[in-house]
Amino acid sequence: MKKWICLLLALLLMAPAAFAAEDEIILYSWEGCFPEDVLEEFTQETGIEIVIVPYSSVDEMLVKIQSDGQYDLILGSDYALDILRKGGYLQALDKEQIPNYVNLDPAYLNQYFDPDGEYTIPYMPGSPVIVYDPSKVEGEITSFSDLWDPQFEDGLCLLDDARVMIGATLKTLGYSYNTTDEEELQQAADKLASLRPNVRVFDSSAPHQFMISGEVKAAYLFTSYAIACVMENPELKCVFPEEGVGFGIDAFVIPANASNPDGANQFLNFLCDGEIAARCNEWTMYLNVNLAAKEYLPESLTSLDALNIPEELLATKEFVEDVGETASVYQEIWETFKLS
Amino acid sequence: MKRKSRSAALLILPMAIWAIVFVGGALAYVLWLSFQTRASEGVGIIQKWTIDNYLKLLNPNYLKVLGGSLRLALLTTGVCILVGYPFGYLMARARPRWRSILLMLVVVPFWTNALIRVYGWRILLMGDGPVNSFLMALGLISSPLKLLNTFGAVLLGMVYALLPFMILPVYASVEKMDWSLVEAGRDMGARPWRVFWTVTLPLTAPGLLAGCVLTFVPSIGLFFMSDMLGGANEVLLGNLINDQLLKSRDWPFAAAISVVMLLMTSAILWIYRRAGGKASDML
Amino acid sequence: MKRKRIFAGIFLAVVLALLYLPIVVVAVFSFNENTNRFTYNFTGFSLQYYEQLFRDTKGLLAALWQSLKLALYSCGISAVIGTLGAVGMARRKFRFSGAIEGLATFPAMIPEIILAMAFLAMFSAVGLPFGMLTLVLSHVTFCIPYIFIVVKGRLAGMDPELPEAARDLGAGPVRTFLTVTLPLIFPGVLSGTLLAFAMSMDDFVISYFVTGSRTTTLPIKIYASVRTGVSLQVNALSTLMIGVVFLTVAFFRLIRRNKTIRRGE
Repeated sequence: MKKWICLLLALLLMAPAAFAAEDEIILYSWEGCFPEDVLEEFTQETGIEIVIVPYSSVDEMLVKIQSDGQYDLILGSDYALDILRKGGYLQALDKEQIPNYVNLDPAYLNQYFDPDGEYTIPYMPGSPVIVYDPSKVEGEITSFSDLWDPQFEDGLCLLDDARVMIGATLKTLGYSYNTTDEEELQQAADKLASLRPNVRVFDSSAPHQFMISGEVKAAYLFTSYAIACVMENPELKCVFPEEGVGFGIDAFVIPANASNPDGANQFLNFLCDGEIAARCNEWTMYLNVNLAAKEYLPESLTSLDALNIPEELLATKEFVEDVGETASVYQEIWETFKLS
Repeated sequence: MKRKSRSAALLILPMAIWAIVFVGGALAYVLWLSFQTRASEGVGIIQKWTIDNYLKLLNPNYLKVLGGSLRLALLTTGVCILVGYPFGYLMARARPRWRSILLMLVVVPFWTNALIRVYGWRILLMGDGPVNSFLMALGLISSPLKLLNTFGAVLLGMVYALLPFMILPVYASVEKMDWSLVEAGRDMGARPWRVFWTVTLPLTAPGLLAGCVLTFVPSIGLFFMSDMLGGANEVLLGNLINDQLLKSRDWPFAAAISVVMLLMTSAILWIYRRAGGKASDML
Repeated sequence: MKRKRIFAGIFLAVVLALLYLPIVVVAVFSFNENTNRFTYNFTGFSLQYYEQLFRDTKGLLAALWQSLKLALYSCGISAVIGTLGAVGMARRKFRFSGAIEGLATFPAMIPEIILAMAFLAMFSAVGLPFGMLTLVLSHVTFCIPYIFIVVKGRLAGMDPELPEAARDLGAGPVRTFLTVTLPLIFPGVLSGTLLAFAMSMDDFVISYFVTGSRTTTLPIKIYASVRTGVSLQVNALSTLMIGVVFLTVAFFRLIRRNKTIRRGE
């Protein structure tokens, strides 16, 4: 018995030395946003290990950063990055170390959450889309309002995200995604209430599973989930709501308290390389942000409906932006909706 | 005598300090927090006394959450009794050889992560999952049943996760039971059911009671069950605290919900103690 | 009588089958050949997920390692604190013994989420950085009750005269404790610690709130993976873990049986 305890203790003391790499980057991210081989290639080239710490919601990430979590690189959603930038939690990128920055498509740079393009590298942009199964749905679906149709009773999957879902509802009423007008929000809340009987699942983490397994007839999903659906079942259809589309970008930032900012900058440069970016894009299945990656991307991916937002709709795109105190009003509307 | 009491005090000291700082202190901090005002930005708070956080709980929405959580907890406990009591009883009545094998079989799943087991159910209950495929292959149903993302699925998950906590205390109390009393009852010609109600049940009550507390209390707080099996359609007290901490970032309100939950739990434990329950019956 | 036995057997078997059904499903899918990231369709037998599991040492294995480390630290500390506390309590009743016992065992009686909230709020108010320290502090807090209660139960069945006798024979207090009391209560300490170990390894709710950037424990990693879709490496690891547990338990049963047989002869 004693021998075993000694052995265990010895292992405990020695192991950290064996496990800890000389040089590493702690990357705080959603689970599964990077193909394994890309990470391995980076480690082989530079000797820097990437340690991915997963979070399961943006809110969780925000709370951890705001209570002084130690990370070298964060992949997060636009409005959360805006909050972090305004709160002084970020440090500027070192563009000297990121010569590949020039490869990035200017369409995705200098957005509201980083107006001067100092802090962020876009990685996964997309627009939520309606996916439905034509074999189970009568007629053609073209708008978000169509989801109120009684034929969807207990047959919808929605994202469990107050801002995105209320935003889409606001659009059906002709209002902005980011309204702070109480009257408009009240109307949206009233309209949402009658959608409740149609909702079967709220899920933001793996909603495509419910569409693929036939649990639901239609779903409102982020881009990559929609693509997962059509790749599994090409019969499924993707449509952008004609009322206007929402838009979001998940981007990289380096926190102010990063202990290895050089490594983080190097990794970002690596990811901005055309060929690498193409491999990442095939894995993440969002819009492509890298002009140099275009030649490497297969037609089968780039031609998918969910990746080609019609020009006239693209003009209507709206980001979810930080609305300050009104955020809690959105949250309350959403809670009431889920509980009704 | 004095020497003895001093050394005893010294032995208790580390635990006493730990309990006061990390249990007493932490809970007192939550109580204090629940009477503070939330800052308009971020996770901060303003030190201004208020009872708004408790008044907010009277909002019909939150009362609904409270009612829903209690209903689910009661149902979970009820099903656990219906399945766990006979199981624990029969297990204790089995032949000694079988008894230890059964005990092992009940305990081993404990050693895999609860999340994994719930995830197993998720695969099973999917629209095109094994259960539906099986039933369709048998020709019992023609189109897939709605199994996942229902209230039933959440209940199943809860019962599944907590059942061993009912089985084990019942088993322990049946095993300790004095069977001569039962035989005496039988010898006097009482019917089996009567013997059960008047002798067996009262004798095994401590185990049953401990099992009820052990299933009821945690079932109020398992916040991931609704997310993983119920399609997030059920909002339970645990989910509410989680949402307030992470999404709305209203910590004082989360603290107020915790305090209410703590009061409910304490009430249950108080009733348990009054009914003669001991902490040691629970393990 | 015989029919009754058969019914009882069927009932036990059905409940056990349901208890193991999801575990079997998890295990079966760990051998899936399908590399699809989105569906569970079982296409054939393969060990690829096991291979991936062992190649990717920074993923699940690192998380398992964190969990083991955390459980060992917390159980070690709480075993000492809880055992001493129980021994002290058994020696003499103080005015506040009841209150202290109530407070110390409270964490095992309340829903985990309350403790999680309390620790998150308290640690961030004090400014303690989230990481191994906060994890150990909170795990020790909920491990103490298990050890304390089990050891206390063991002490209740012990003859209080024995340590007294040792003292009367001139043994010092430390020596008495080590040579008389501890060996007597050791089975209790061991089973309490094992229970606490299992609780610590399995804890998700509390760890989720107090973890730091370098301390992703296994349950946290699993939660993030299974929430975001199909991740059969998780299945592979779980299958291995339950296999190890089964083998260990079976091994000890075998040893014990051999011993009793030998003794019987």
